Amino acid sequence: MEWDDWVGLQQAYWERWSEFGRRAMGLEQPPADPWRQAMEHWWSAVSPGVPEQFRGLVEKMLDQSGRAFELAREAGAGWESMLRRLEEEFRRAGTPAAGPDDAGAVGSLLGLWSLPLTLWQEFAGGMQPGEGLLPLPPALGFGREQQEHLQEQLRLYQAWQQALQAYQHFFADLGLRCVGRMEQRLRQRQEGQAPIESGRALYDEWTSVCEEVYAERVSTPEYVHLHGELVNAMMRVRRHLGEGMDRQLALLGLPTRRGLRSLQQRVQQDRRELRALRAEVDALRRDLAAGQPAQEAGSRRRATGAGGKVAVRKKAVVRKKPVVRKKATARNRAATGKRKSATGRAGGGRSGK
Amino acid sequence: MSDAIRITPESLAAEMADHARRLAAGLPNLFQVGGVESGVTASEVVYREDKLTLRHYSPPPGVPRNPVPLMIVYALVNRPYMLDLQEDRSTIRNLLAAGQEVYLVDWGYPDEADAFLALEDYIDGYMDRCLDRIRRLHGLDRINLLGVCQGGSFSLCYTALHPGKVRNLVTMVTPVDFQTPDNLLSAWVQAMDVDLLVDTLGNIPGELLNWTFLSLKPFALTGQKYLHLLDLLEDPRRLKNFLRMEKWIFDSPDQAGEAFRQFIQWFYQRNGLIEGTVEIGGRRVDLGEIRCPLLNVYGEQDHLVPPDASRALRGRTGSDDYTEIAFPGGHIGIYVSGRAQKQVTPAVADWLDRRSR
Repeated sequence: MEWDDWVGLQQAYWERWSEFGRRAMGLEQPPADPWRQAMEHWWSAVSPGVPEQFRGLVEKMLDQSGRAFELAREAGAGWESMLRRLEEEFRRAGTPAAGPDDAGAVGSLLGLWSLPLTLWQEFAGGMQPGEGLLPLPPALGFGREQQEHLQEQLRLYQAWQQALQAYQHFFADLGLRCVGRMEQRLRQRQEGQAPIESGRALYDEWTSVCEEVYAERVSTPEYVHLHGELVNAMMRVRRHLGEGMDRQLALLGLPTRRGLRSLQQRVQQDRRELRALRAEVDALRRDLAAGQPAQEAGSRRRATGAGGKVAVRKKAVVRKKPVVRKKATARNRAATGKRKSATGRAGGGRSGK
Repeated sequence: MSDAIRITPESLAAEMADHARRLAAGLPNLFQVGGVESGVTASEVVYREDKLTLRHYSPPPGVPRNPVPLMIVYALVNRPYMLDLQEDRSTIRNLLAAGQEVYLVDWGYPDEADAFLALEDYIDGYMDRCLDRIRRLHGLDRINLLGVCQGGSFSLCYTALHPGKVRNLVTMVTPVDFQTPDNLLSAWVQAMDVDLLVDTLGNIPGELLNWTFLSLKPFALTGQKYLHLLDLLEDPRRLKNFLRMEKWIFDSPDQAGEAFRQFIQWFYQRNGLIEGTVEIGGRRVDLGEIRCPLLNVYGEQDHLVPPDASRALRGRTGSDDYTEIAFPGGHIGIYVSGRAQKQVTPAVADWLDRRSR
């Protein structure tokens, strides 16, 4: 059987298998990837019976299966032409004209290459770089501040767009290197190594090549710089948007994020100080209970670490179960604890065996 | 010259048909798998504070107990039930079987109210109060401490600052030198403006950390793994194991912004444990102050904390009783692999027993 026949057979299979469904759904053209379409059709029928928490998992499995078999079909028909096609896609994604949409083309490599870009776009709050922004005239007169804010927003968006493009170009280049490495591996097989005989094995080989090249490239100073730039540019946009939002909220007399942060910071500082004071009070109470003069607070902290508030016995008591002491014994424990604290400090933790 | 790829239409059709058959045959197991529970060993809560919970696990009756209890400090990243994932893969259960009395610090899920929790609050605050609680419960000056990954770094800081409270220290897959050449995570954060990141986001979303960890091996971890899931689908037991792990991987608490800022800047960007520049609560962390016996366990194939990052501890403390265990596995395998159950946990328990009598 030839690969042209294969596609024809699959299309015929699909036609017969989904004839009624296709009519009902109004599909005019047979699908380009019959197996994947068939599996999706099957999945739409059985997925309601699968617990919701696992549906995403099966969908990922189906997605990767579809990619693996599509890769195998294309490679089986001629792996060199497949590699040339991939090369072409990566070259296109790496051109200066390529934008975020070209990540889709790059995503043909197991659908993973667009992952970083998708993530960063999510963190951008769903906004695209430069969206809805046009160059503004110089800021003058009434509304100058608002105009300056928008100009800065435009500048930050453009910087982010540049960082995103540089990042994408890096991955396009990385993809090209993967294609080159894959070609090397396949040539080695031609020279006598066992051929790849299944879609699964081909997929695994491709994954292995991609991981290998990826690991080499993302540890370079070039990537470290690009990654840092992307994150920083993205955060500058987010921060600027947040500041703008805060200004609007302040105008409406509503709580702002900045105000909330200040409160959170103060509360945490107060809690920290409260804890420290409580520890001091506990220690003073122990001193009083033991009938000893109270130590100076600073020396107590230095001596016992966090505050020296734990009452301990002179000798470790081995017990089979943890023992929670009753409050009534607290004073006695405090007294022995004070004495033991001094002993423990002298030991310095050296004994242990 | 032979073919590099020998896939024919017939062979591919057969493979696809087999794939579909196995998928259809295995899918009912997903219907029946039920809940994916974790944290399988019974425990009691002995202390709570804010989002933190301190859990206590008792050895089974009849097992000779180590008289010195062990407090385990997990990382802020991900959840501690990795140590108690399932009955036959549980570090905690194995420690109990070996007679260790175990306490586990569960940091919980920080939210916006926790955004300004600093390392000082975690190490000098929460950790110290948990340790004091256990010391009080057992009437002991010093107890054993085991830190995991970032929790190991915390434990090193804690022991250096509070040497009188720790009898023996165990660090597992713990980064010490944060700037070894093979540390990808470290490389990636070097050019990041962490102040800008934290000031902008507040708490750091767990999803962002997830993505970062997956980015270490993106093709294997976000693609290949799911294709290979087919191999597990027909075996309910292995399927459930996979689902437990999957649940754990994506169960990522957000990180308190201030603590994240400090950890990245002080430990990753400035390599503060090695350089001696980390300050917790105004006190400098000097690893030389750690004089108790120290066991350092690391994974030889750990891609998150490379072996050299952990081995850097050797010779940097004041302890004259330093031991290393190199485990032939990765960052997670050291807790959940069958080999780890047989080798790592018993060795840790034995090491503790010898130094706790």
